[in-house]
Amino acid sequence: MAGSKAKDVLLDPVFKNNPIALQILGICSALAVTTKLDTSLTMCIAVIFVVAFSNLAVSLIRNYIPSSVRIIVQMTIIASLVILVDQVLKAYAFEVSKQMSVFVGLIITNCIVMGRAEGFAMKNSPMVSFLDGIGNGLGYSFILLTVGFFRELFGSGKLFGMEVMPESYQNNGLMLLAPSAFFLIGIIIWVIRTFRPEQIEEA
Amino acid sequence: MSDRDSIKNTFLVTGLLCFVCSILVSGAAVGLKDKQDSNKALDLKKNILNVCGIDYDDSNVESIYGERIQARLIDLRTGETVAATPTSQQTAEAFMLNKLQEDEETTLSQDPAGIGGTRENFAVVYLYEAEKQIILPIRGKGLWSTLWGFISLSDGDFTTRGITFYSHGETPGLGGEVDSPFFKNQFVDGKETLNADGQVVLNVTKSGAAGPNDIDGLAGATITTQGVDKLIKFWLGMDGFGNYLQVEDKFANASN
Repeated sequence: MAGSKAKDVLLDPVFKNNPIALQILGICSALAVTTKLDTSLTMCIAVIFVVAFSNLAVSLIRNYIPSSVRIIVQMTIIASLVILVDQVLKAYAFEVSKQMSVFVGLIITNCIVMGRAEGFAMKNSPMVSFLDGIGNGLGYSFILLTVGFFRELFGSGKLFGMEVMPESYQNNGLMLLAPSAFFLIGIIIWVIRTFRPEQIEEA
Repeated sequence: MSDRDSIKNTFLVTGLLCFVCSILVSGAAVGLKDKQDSNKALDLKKNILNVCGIDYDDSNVESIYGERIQARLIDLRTGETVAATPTSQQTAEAFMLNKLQEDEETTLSQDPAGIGGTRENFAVVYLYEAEKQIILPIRGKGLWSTLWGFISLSDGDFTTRGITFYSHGETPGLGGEVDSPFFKNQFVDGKETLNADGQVVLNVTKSGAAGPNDIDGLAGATITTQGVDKLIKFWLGMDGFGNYLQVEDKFANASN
């Protein structure tokens, strides 16, 4: 029983209850950092780290957090973890962190992180919360990497900075602009809901 | 359990949490500082190579930089070169500028670039002798932040050869486009900066690049565009590097 629950919290957010595709959270960063795969991947790792460890930390002290200040307590934990990630990126991935500019810092305001801390970690045990954080991070990553893949491929003719399209291919500048991420996320939501009709909302 | 909402417990939990988080954050900041600083120093060198239009890859930045770029400490009041670089260390730190700057400032009667009302009397400029380029450090206020960068000029006619901004906090996608190729490439093909009287004639305009000394500004970033315009005019003018630009033979070794 416990085993299947762990698997559920880890894998459900990827397709069944995806934070971006079903809950429509965290859209801002999905538009901003997905013009290239390497920034997308860095963002994914950063978000997985932050959401997993913020869930773990919040869950560990959930019985001591006074309810009057619980949001601020969660924010403090999240903000500290994000600063930690930002510092590490500046030290070990300077070029990528420069391209991502403010968007690493903006993980603090990413609704997914806050939402999981308040909605899940406050009520569940540390281990399950940690897995839930990883699961939601993976769900976020799945969308980001898919969007990043198509935007870099058609926008720059590259993947991870390497030329893959034939030279005759004319780069599609629209793919590098933010609206194309909206189109792609829309298409992903459409595809997911075609295979999982239970996600379709009542009109 | 019920006393977890008490005032005492609230202060205790938040206090402890802040303590733990601050140790975590400051520990990371202090522990990673050396690594970050060396990244920044390397990034500065890459920016200088970029502004000169020199090709490099990550493995040979240091060697190419060391071979081709020289640094000079100059006195902005007279334009004289005070010191040349020791070849081992071609960066601003080699001149121990921090020490020099303490009382060595000139109060500006006007401060169009928004650099705080005073300007240091000494500055480090970089020279790329093979292509006769002078690389000047520039900075000034945009919309949210101070932009830090370099501009490269040809020695002699002072046409632009390149520009780069290595540090700024402008809005990504709008003012942040100052470091996009579209904007920077306009400086590569030799815009005129000074007229015969030493007046700065380069304009960064909103209305498109009409003349030979116009740079097309950034759409959606009026204040950043104006900031770039003002900071270029300031640093190339007489309050900035104006005196230095009039000096003959910038590539000679320093007098002392």
